[in-house]
Amino acid sequence: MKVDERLEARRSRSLWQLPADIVFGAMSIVVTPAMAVIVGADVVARYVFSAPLFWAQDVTTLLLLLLFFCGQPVCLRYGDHVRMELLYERFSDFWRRVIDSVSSGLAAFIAGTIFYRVWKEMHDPFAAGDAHGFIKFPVWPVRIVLLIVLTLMVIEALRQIIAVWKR
Amino acid sequence: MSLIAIGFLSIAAMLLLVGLGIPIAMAMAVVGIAGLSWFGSFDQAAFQLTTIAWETGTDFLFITAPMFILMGQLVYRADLAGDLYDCLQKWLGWLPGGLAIASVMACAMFAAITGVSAATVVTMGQMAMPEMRKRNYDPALSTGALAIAGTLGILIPPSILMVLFGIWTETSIGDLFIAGIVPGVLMTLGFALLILVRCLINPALGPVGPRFSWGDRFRSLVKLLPVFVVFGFVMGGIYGGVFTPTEASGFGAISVFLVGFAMRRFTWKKLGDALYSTVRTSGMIFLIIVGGSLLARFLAVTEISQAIVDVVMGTDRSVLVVLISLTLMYIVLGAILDVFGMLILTLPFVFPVVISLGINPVWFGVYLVIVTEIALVTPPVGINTFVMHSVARDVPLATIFRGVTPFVGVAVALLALMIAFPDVVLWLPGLNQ
Repeated sequence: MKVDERLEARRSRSLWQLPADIVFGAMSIVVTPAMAVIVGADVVARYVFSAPLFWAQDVTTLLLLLLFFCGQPVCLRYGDHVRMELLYERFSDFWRRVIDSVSSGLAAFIAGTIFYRVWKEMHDPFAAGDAHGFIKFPVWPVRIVLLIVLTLMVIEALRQIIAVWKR
Repeated sequence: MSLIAIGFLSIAAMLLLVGLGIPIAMAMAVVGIAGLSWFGSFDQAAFQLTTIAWETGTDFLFITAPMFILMGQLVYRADLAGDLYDCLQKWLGWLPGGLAIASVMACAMFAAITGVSAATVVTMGQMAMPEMRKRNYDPALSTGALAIAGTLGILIPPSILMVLFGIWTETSIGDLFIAGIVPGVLMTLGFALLILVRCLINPALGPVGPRFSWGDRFRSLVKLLPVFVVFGFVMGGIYGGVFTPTEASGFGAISVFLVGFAMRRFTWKKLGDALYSTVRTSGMIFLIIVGGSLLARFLAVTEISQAIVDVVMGTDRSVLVVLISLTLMYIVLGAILDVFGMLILTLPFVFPVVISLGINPVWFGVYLVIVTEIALVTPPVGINTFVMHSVARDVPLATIFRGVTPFVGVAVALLALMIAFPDVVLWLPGLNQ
């Protein structure tokens, strides 16, 4: 079975595919155009009306952070992360399962590491009241969203490990 | 164990993971976490990882990447490829090899705006191949021209690869974009000239097509005009110093959406697909940057990059020898790695060497992109060649590789020209300063 077919088979077995796709699809549909609209509007406001939107840069960079993090569980689900398949394609099915499991395990570890740090910062009295940029947007709501996305990423990675050994 | 030995061991561990098929971003991040934990603590490594993710994710400059990806996705899904090919074959089809020349030009323009190399080959291949078959074009010439022309998108701005290179090496993205224009145009013209000369020598390779009236030719331009006005505005804005690349990217994405909307080219599904693809590609690039940055921070502790610079400088190699060695290395790497992976894996070591040799970073960025283009069509992998084969199943892979070879010669000639006359690259950004 080719890599694409395996990924397709893996996707089709996902029990929470629909809600996750709806959640991240909705986020991408909101976040990406919102960024484009704000950057575009700022250009017009800056160069046409000489009145730049003072909040534009801060809001777009927070949206960018959300876009990047929301993309992670989706990339994991669809196997988008770049990998070298020269040897992988020559491995036996067992070793491919091992490699896939290690990959998913590492993804869970990386997401878990960031989760650990963000969680710690949520409880750090010195980080309390942290704010982003010129508009002093409070950081804690962003941290909560990140924790949710990172949790979903860990769940997706663990689900993939189970799926790999069921295929 | 010395710091440098630890550095080399870490690189070996990372290459082992990458070689086994672990995603490159994860291999780099995990080695970075392990290394920083070794030198400090897991807490410090987690802090570094999270800081890099936050800093990268909130970097205003980085908005350029998803916005240009979105702009490309919108152009791609607005079905402009057909209009483009139709227009160019009306203008150029009467020349010997005219359909192949039109294909090269259409691929170059489409890939330049969309920034998607493989998808350009598929899209244009599906339109151009039946036409060229109908006119008995040589299969090696037609498939080779399409496969190589798809790569032009990463050289002609706006190019996501250049954005990545600029952010990673702290080189001006605007200068990189501007610097890519002359080599991109030269390479496109070089490919077109090669086809023309070969078909003049041997007319059977690409028979002459019908001539269209001037009225037909100008009418075919109308559909393309709005998008090219946007493209010209975006690039002109960057070049004229009116926009920053970030502003230009957001403005470009919105403008292309409005143009496509006005032309009734979008459905809800197409828009959803464009946005979803943008999120996926951006997410992939983000993790590569985060993993690569973490690894670079760890390697900085081991001082291995400096050691490599010292070795290269100590051997008293000339710039030319280093550049030829790098070219060969990248062509080999390109046979086994994706362009983003290749860039991120090598830049932490290669870039300090290049700077130590006094090579201009903008020039090097353009050079690297051209070498990457060559890698995309070189055996044994050459991803664009395989993509072309998927479109033209009846043409053997060996024939496509044979067809691509003369075009690779043009790319190598351009590299030689750039080395002999660096101003080919640096003249245009120089004017801007």
